[in-house]
Amino acid sequence: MSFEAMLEANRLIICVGSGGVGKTTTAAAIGLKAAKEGRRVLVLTIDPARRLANSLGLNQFGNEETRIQLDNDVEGQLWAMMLDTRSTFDALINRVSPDAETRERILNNRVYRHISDSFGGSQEYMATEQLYEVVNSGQYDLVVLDTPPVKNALDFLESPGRLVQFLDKRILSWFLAPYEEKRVVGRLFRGTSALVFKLLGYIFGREFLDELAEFLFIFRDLYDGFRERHEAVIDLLSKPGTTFSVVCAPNEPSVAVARYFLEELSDRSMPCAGVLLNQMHPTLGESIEPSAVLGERIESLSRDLSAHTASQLLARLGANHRRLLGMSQAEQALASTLKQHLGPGQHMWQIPRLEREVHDIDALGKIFELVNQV
Amino acid sequence: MLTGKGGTGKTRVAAALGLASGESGRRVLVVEVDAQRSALEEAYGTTLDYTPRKVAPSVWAANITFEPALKDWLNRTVRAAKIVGLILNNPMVQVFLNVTPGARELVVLSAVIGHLENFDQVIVDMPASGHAVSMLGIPDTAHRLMRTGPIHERAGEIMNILRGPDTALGIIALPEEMVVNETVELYARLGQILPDLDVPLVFLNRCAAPTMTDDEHKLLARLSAETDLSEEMKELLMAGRWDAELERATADSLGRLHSEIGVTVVPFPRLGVIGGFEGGPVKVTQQMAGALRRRVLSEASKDGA
Repeated sequence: MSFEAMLEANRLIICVGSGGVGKTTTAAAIGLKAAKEGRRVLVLTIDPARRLANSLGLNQFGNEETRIQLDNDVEGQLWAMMLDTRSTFDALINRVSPDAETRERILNNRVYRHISDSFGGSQEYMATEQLYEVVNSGQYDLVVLDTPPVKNALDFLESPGRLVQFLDKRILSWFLAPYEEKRVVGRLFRGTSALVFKLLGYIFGREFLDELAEFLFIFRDLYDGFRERHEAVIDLLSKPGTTFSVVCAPNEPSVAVARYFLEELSDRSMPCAGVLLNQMHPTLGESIEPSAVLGERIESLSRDLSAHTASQLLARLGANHRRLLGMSQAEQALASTLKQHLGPGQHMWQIPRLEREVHDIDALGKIFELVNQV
Repeated sequence: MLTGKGGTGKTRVAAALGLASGESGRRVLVVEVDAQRSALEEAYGTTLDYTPRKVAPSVWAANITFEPALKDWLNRTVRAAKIVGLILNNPMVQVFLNVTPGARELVVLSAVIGHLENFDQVIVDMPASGHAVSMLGIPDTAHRLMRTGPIHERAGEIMNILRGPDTALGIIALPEEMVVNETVELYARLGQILPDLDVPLVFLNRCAAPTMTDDEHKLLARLSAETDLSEEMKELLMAGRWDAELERATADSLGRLHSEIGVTVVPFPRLGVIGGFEGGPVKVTQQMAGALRRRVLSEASKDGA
């Protein structure tokens, strides 16, 4: 399948991979390419760092969908958005609260405020929530999601499960039992459970448990809503039109991470188009003798420069090229290793390294000009 | 503690720093924090788990994962082995710990800091920038949220150590514009969430010292501007421009890091890859440790003079 066909076939593309492989840049470049094909595209990142803005040459943007200015002749639209955990959380509460009073009680609960503000992992809790919203808003033909590096990307896959697990009725009723009426305590809390609960109080502090209980009391009735949403997200992720795409750079650690992702996605029966291998150094594959190739020309161009400039530069170019060739061979070896781990129907696309760092729209547009399938 | 954008070579710097530091004879432990896939294993060429393992004279390494760290935590706070077993085996408690955001990070940080009792120095390969910032904010949040009990106390102890005079955080960067942007941003955010944490160093990885003369730059530009170049010529010149660009980016990045955050920048030279990644990852770790050792020696001789 060509890279273009893969883009064309999907409505949701999720980029995964280790840090520093150009994942965010790739996600933005995919978005730009699709916009140039005339589609309405949103690129969404759940990375706490402000990489997407950097890639798009913008200073920053918040939880709002921001339209990226493209050339006038581009028919499609490119939008970008970075998840802000707190606002996403608040929007969720607004959506699921049955009335204004419940909403205010949740928003003012201290446990809620801390969880939504500062506890690690909240970004992932909220990512799928936002994803579902934008995919189903009908405003976009394609949504490209950029995920954080490895460990957190898996949290992201599991987050609906984890959130719902928290709100599972069985667990809630165990935890909340001591806070229910006395008779319930008498019935449910004997022996081990009572002891464990006491210990939890000892470890976490009774005061925290009390506030957590209040938080959970409010959330309890929302469980069915969360469960439905969870199922809808899982459904969204596994249905046709969605694909994961593993982004990788040609070095050992990130190839190892790419293999790990291919396996994980396959174990979870998630659709995966294959691997985008970024930053490959293109070469003709042969050693080149600089003086034989450039000798004459360099003489005529260096007459006004200080003595030895030409010979110094020739020696330097020889060393530079030997390094490039060595690197390219090592990269191709890594690429073939990785290719053996592709499943049926999966592809590998190689993207050559560009001469300049990518931090504006023009450079972004060049990324896929030279993409080739191997 | 070391952090930085993903792909900057954080783990390798941590590993090399461990080797270089251990040469003084102090007992050094290098740890990863809750790594699902250990990267430190590759850097030291050995398998690692929760229990520190000797990787060089006076240097140990470990991957501090959640489950054994939780057991340690409970042994420390609850003490009675029977009760610890009861808690660990209770499915409700497992769920509670899994879903309480921050619990995992706090338990792991606590285990990392616990090692200060047994080692002279602990070098922590933290998660990448954004996640390191969230992790470092957790003790403070937990301290405020759980107002009594052992978590409250332990979180307080961890905060005191993070703020204390014997703790420092180094940021790993690369000589690339976007990475330097993120480093400057990370430095500012650390200042907001943990103003007392000392952040004295940036390690600038994969640098090229400026060795090209102005005339060489000029000549390379003239050659590149020629219109009738063969494919071979183009490839040679591209190789030249990449390396020239790295020299320029190194100088730019050093300048920006000095002027925008004013910390000490420790550059690591880019290591040779001619003929592929010869010698493997362990060799890279050793070469980087060598670069650190030479720097320490040259600074000592400067001080002497």
